[in-house]
Amino acid sequence: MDRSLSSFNAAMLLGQLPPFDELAESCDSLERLWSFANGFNLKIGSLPLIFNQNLGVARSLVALGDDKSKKYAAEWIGRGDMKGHALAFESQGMDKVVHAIETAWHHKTGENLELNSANKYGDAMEVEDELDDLRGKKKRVKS
Amino acid sequence: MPLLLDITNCLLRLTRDRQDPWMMMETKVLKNGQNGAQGAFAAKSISKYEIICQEKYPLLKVESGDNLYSNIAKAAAGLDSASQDAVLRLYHPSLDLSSSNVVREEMIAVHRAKLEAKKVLEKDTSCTISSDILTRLILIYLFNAFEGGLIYKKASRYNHSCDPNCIYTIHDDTITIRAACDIVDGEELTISYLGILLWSDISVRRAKLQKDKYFTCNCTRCQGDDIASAIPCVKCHPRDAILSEDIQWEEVPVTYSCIDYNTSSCRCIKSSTSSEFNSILKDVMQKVHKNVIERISERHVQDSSNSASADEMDINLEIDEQLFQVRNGFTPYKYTILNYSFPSKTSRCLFRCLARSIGRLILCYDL
Repeated sequence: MDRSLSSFNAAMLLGQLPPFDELAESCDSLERLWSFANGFNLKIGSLPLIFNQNLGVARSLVALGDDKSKKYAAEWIGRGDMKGHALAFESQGMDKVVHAIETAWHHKTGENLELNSANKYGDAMEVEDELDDLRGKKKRVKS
Repeated sequence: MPLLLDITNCLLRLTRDRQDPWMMMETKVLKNGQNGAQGAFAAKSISKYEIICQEKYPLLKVESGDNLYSNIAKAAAGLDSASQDAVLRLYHPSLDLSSSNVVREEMIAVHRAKLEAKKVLEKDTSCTISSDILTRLILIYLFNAFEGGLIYKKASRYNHSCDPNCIYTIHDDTITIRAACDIVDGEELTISYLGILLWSDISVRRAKLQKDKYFTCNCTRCQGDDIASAIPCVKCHPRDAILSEDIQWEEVPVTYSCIDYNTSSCRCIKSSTSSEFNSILKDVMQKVHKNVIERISERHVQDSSNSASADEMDINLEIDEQLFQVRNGFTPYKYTILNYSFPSKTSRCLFRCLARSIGRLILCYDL
């Protein structure tokens, strides 16, 4: 599943859509992963295991562009407390990515950039750029 | 007299409220099963996601690499006496192996630390640390270090549980421990030392902790059954292999490990004891080996009869048995790790089909 999500990301970077059949397979795998992880009934919940995959699938769905896919992405994001988890345990700015994906279906295609940048969370792509910058800075410091 | 007690209690409560929402206490069931070590306990009710502990600077930071133990000596040599004392107060087993309290894993750790300390001191004659102190520092590293070789004054005191209630994150050497659920006053605060293997079965978890942290976990989850201790079938366990449509529905005689595959709603075998589980696992593994070898030989013959050259079609099948010590009752359990290199797509897909039925073993590869 990680391999598939990586290939989706690569495709999205090149401006292509993720392949539908593989995305459907990923959704199916994610569903099983959720039921597997929930079966443990751990106090920490399932998100520490699934957060990245859940977010990856949701992002790929949003990339498809149509409202139904965006709503489906919001459903995945709505599973568990993704926002709370992102704020508490994930790297800086990840909560904004979660919010952007969750609210993507509110905006019509083509209006995303304007509307997202107008809201308090800004645009998911901007956040990613910031994250990339941060990583770049770290790398530069290390080198 | 009761009035005095009331005042004392009030003062204690006020003091506690002003401090971190946790306190150190002697624990009964502890890090490495040893009495006398410390653990962290909630000093008041803690809500989900609340920060419990944050430390910006580690007591010790050891660079990993080939010269890990020399690096421990170097890092410790740079400490002032107060910091060195603080490090030495962290949990580590006694160097006296004759003590009746020392458990087997700790004996192994002590033995290893003594050997490594001796090697370091022989190699680096300029080292000013005594052999005993260096041995203790190595033990402290083995028992308390987080990833990246970071040892903290408070965070290193948190015990492990396979059902933890806290999660730690480390950014730029700053460790933050947050509650992952609501925690009641007096509950022990625990984190996981296992990473993603927290979701694996008891054998893998136990092996990992014994190998890396030198203790056998006896938490409530390790004493009962959980979903990961069941042999998964393809219907109810997440798989990473996505097969192409033609291969997915190919008629391959795979015997799924789930005996209730057609009838059970959960579609998993649930073992009631680890010995039962191990015996089932052994059977499945033997069956899979036989199938793999037979089917791949058949494929090899079929592929060879086609036009490709012998070199291209040569299936490099290597069954490498490695002894992986899972010390259940200190008896080594023999795991078989399979290393295959398949030039043929059909053989590889066939292997994937079989691997799907023993998905849990793939987790063992990462250890």
